[in-house]
Amino acid sequence: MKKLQNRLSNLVGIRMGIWGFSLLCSLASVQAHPTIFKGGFVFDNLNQSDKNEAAAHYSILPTLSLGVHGLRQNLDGKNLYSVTSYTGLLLKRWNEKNFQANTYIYGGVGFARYQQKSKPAFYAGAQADIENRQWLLMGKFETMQFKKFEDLYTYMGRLGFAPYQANYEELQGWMILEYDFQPFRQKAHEVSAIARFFYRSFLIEAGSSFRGDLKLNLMFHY
Amino acid sequence: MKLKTLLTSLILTLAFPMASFAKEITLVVKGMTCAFCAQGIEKKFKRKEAVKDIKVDLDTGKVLISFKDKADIGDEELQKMIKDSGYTLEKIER
Repeated sequence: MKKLQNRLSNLVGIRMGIWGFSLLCSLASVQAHPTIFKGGFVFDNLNQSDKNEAAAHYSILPTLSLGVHGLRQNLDGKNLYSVTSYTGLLLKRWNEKNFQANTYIYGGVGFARYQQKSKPAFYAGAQADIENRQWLLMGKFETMQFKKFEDLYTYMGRLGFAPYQANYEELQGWMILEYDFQPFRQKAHEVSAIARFFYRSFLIEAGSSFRGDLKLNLMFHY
Repeated sequence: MKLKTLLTSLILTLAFPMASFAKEITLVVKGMTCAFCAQGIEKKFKRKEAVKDIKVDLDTGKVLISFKDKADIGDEELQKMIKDSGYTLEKIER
């Protein structure tokens, strides 16, 4: 049984390595919509110098999404890889004439590999956001727990402003100020300026922290 | 001549209500603030056989739906489709 577990762990580790390198780019969180419309598929990818994160999930209900989540996080010069399941739950949505507000929880279980060892991993987060066509405010907390590895915690806040109001089929731009607090990093506090553009089902975010750490986020809905 | 005019008028009068016009309805939707998220509405409606075209207007918060021939979608189903898209249907203008 233990042999099988080790083999499985090694296999997961190898696959995680391939996945991590193939993404090229670095723990902040995927700026996902934890759930979308019923029958909708989301691919979400976040890249920073010390981290890559990706999630793919399918909304079986507008309030419930299922999928997978992967992460590469550089810790003290060594990469930690994890693959977990993904479940997103919309707790409550307020749809009003001029704004929408949401509260979500999400998470999953899986494996993590770090310093040649594989361990079970648990991923969980909570998110609240409110936006109208000109302003957006978002707060989020995430944690990744590993048996015997360092647990990762991320706190994130975002304030966004749309300089113009594009209609449905036009290119929309946003300017976003993001604050991250990640106690496991040497420089735990980070403020970033991000430009977000979306057109139809494609979203791209590009920016940099004030320390010069580049960020590139991509999202696709289908 | 009079009879010919009369017959033509009669035929046109009878034919007019039978002509197939594409029906249009307008949905007033709450919470539609983001074009990226509202794509779900378009995707859901375009999957419906009855729907010929759909136009989403974020400025007015309205969704204009054109149906094929005499096709239609009932109010209850419209309500469900908007709910499944993540929004709240406020009003249907037929």
